[in-house]
Amino acid sequence: MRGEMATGNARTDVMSLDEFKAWFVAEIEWSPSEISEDNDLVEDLGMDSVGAVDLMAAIEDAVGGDVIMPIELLLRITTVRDAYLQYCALAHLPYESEVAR
Amino acid sequence: MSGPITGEDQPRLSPSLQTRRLQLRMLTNEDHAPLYRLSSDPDVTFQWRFRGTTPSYDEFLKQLYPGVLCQFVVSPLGSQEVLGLVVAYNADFRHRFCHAAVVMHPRLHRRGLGIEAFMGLARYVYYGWDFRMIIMETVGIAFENFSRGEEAGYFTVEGRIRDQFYYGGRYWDGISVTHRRDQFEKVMQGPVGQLLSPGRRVKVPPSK
Repeated sequence: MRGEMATGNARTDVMSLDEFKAWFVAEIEWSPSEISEDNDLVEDLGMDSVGAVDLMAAIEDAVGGDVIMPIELLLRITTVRDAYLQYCALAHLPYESEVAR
Repeated sequence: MSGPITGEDQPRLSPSLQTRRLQLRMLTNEDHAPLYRLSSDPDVTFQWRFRGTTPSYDEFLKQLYPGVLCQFVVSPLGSQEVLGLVVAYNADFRHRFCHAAVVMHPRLHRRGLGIEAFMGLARYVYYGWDFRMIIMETVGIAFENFSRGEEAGYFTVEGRIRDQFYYGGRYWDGISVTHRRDQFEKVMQGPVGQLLSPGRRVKVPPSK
């Protein structure tokens, strides 16, 4: 089930890029009805700071597990494809408390 | 006063200075030089207090504290890196309001981190003082970074002075916005509440 964070095993519930785009259009209030993975979130889709808050919160919810989108990943996001890649990264990274010490 | 303003399920007896991705921490001497550099960044200077002028380091320091109610350096969780500064100033205790300003490093613009830092400051201010509102003065070019916030209920545009500031070959409006206590409590029910709630951190591998 999406949002269930697996520990130790690869997740199988992560959206494909096409699913992510459909999710983006449905979940992000400021999204136009059609988007491309190459769209720049700011320049093409008009994302401002408030829109960024909406998007990060939505991605965190989609990943589940009350995970935080770290600043390092957030700064790698420019396009829709970037957002998807960082969503995937977030879904597969271990929690700090679960990192072997 | 209605309800807790801590951003958490249970009321706390002390205000948190930690947001989801950020910490607001006390300003120290070590922060002065990074903030001085930030104040002169071309993408920041015309929108911050010095409006493009280049004060000496001593003058910068002199102007860093007068009128301040509280101010915090914005850093990532677990790091002392200076990402920005949030300030509450010119408090009016009779009429129960204060002003606030946020400055963030340009590479963080339009990422929502300025809002996250401001909401952390607002939580602290509303927790510690019975203010009715926080007033922010901004320039049109900066306002474009968060203008959708009025529609989303984050703040209210109260006034606009047309063509007040010259920047980049044109004049920009000066804009006054208020963020009221009831707006804070209302937006805490949405994504903003998530901004101020703790979550689980992931381990990010270094970039290749």
